[in-house]
Parts: sequence; structure tokens; C-alpha cells
Amino acid sequence: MSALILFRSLSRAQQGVRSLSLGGVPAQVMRAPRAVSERGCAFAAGMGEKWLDEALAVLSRAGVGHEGAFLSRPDGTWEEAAR
Amino acid sequence: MIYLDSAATSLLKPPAVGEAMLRALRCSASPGRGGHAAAMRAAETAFACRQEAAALFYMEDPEQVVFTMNATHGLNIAIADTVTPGMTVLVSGYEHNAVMRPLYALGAKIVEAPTPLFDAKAALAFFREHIPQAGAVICTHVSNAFGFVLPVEEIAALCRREGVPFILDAAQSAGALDIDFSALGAAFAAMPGHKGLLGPQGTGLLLCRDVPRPLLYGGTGSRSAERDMPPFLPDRLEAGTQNLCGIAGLLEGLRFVRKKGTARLRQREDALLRRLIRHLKTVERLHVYAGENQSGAVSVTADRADCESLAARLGERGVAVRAGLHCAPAAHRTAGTFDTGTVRFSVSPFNTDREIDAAAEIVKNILKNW
Repeated sequence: MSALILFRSLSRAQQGVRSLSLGGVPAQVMRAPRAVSERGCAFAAGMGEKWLDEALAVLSRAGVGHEGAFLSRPDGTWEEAAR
Repeated sequence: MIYLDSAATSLLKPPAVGEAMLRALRCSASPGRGGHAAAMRAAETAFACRQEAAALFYMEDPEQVVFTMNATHGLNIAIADTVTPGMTVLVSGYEHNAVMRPLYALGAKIVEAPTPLFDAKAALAFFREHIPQAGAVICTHVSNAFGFVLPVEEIAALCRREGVPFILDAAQSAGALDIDFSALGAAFAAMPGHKGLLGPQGTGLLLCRDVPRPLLYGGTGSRSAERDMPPFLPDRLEAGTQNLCGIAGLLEGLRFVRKKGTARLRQREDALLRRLIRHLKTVERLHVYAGENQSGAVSVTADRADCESLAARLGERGVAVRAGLHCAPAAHRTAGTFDTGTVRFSVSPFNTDREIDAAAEIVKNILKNW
């Protein structure tokens, strides 16, 4: 299982991943799956599922806004994380 | 060639600039236009460039750093967002056409500060008197024609006090003088990448305090399903594919400037400029426009010698300078050199004492036989 945090833009995703890296959370910038980006092309921070809670806490502390968090399902689709 | 035209473009650059551009051309695609390795490499370069610029100009948020084609592009965005037809806009007497032409096109009521060359006190007094009646203030940090350093920190402080938007034209100062964008409280600062920041032509930066209206509309690689431009920076102002090779070069220029430090670079430039001015002042029939508040450039006029002819003769002898009005007729009107134009010598930290001495000697020899 993997997780992603959706951002409004590429540069915001880069800000987010930079903050996560400084906070000890391994993540990488990736294009957001079309299914989770209602407004069209978007970027996300991808990471292992176990890191999601900590990642959201790091972003909150750093003041880096995001547009949602998602978990992958076994069938390859994504569901919004209930957090 | 002795290159003394860095106020137009810094031809002398750190080798890393060109190397990075070539690397980007070969290995990088476009930021935000794909998730593959080549696109992500490009994205990393662009973001690193924003971060480097944000650090140089004391900004917390690299997303407030917008890539432009040049300073003119940035000034057009800033002016179109700030100025409305008929608005009173206060400017220095030393503005470039990059400021004046957009203002004329918008139908602004332009009030120029007709203060003497190198008299920062007089300029500040004029701004102090007129800022309360202005809808916006635009000021060059350094006159491209004369190297006159305007008191922009004090002007910005007056604007903050009166709540008047301030736009800084940092075309000649970025990389050469310290600019604290956050402390200035300016609405915008526009600058080219290819002068003091030592990047390539076709690059520029616009530092934004707020989120302005776009000048260009188009694809941004974000919120593609929406009809409107994204409401956030930098995407809102960056429609279309970016000049990634240029940005890669600019990143290396910024890294060089940050590593050396603007104070050290200015010290070097000042020493070269003072050396040049000292030499030029010994040349007969040459009028040298020099003063205390001067950075990077010095203009001269010669009795009986047309400025373009003198520059051409210097060019033939291997000295690269720029003559004419320097796209700043307003500055030449204020300084009283509109009818003649001037020959401008401008230095970079890469010039040497020997080059300065040789250039001055060539000027002397040319005029001796004129």
C-alpha cells in the first residue's frame, strides 16, 4: 500500500517534499493520478502508507498547505484517507 | 576584447552557467509537463532556482519568485496589475523605457522627479513631497545610463508609510547590490537574469508580494480542467513552456553570486569603476559623469566626438561599450545629455585592472587624434 498527498501545484509539491525530507519523511514528487485531481493536472508527494500520518503532521507544522491525502487500494485505485 | 558593456548583458560569466545550460538541453524536459525523469529533473532545476533567488533576496517563499523573459516582462506584469488609466504614477528621473513605455501605453499620469544626477537627497525630497498624491511609485534602483544609485530603501519606506504600492526596477542592481525584498515591502521587484545575476539572456525574475493578474494566459501544467489561470503563484504568471535551459544557467549564476556575496562583488565592481573614472578624468575634452552614489557604470561625452562614433572607434580597438540613449531617454533628459547621448562604460566583477587601464589608454589615444 502507498499513500499520496495532493498539492495545488508542482512548486507546492516540491515545497512539501522538501519539508517532509527535513522532517525525516521519505517522499518524492509525482504526478497525481487523474482520479484524485478533479481540477486536472496536479502533483503530489508519494510515500509509503506508514508515513502518511507523520507526513501530514510535518506539513502542518511547516505551514505547507495541501489538497487532500489518499491511500492506494489493492485494485490500484485511490481512496481519500479518512483523517 | 575588453568587455565593458555588462550593464547591457554580462558576457563574462562563471563557466558553470554555460555547462548547466548544455546539460539541461541534453537531459531535461519541461517542469510540470510529465512525471518522467527528464521532466522531474527540469522541475528540480526550476525549483532550485526559485529557492536560490528567494534566499538571495531574503524571501521566505520561493513560490513568490516568478520566471520571466527579462526585466521588461516582469515590469509589464507589475505595471499592468498596479496602474490604471489616469492614475498618478511617481517615477524617478532616470527610468528606462521598460517602465516608461508601459506607463504611457496605459495612459498613466506620469510625474517624473527632475532631480540632479547623483543627488540622492534631492531625489528623496521629491519623492517625500509627492508620494502622498501618487497612486503608485516606480523607481529604478540604479540608472542604467549613469550608474546613479537611487535611495530606494528610503523611497520604499515612504511608500509603506503612505500605503502606496512600490515597484522596484532592479535591472541594474540585482546581484550587484543587496536587495531585501521582504524589508522593502515592495509590491514587485523585476530584474533580468542576464546582468548582475550572471545568467543567460532570455531569463528574468519577478518577485511578488501578492498574487497579480496574469499578463499571459495558457497552459501551466496545473488545474488544467479549469478555464481560468490558477489563482496562485508561480503558476498564475507562468503560462507556456518555460526557458528551462536559461533557468538552469540562471541557477548557476545565482549560486555564484550567493557564494561570493553581493558585498564582495560590489566591492570589486566599485574598485574597477573608480579606477576607470580616475583614468577617464585625466583625458582631455572628455566629460565624465561621476558621483558618490554610483554603481557599475559611468557615462562620458567628448567634445567634438559623436558618442556613436566614439563607441564605434572603441569597438574597432577591441573595447566593447554602448553609446546613445541606452533605452532611457528620460534619464538623458534629466541629466542634460538627451541631445548628445553618452558613451557608457560598465564593468563586471570579471574585468581586470589591466583591462581598465588599457581601455582608458585607448580612449585617450583615440581622442588625442580626433
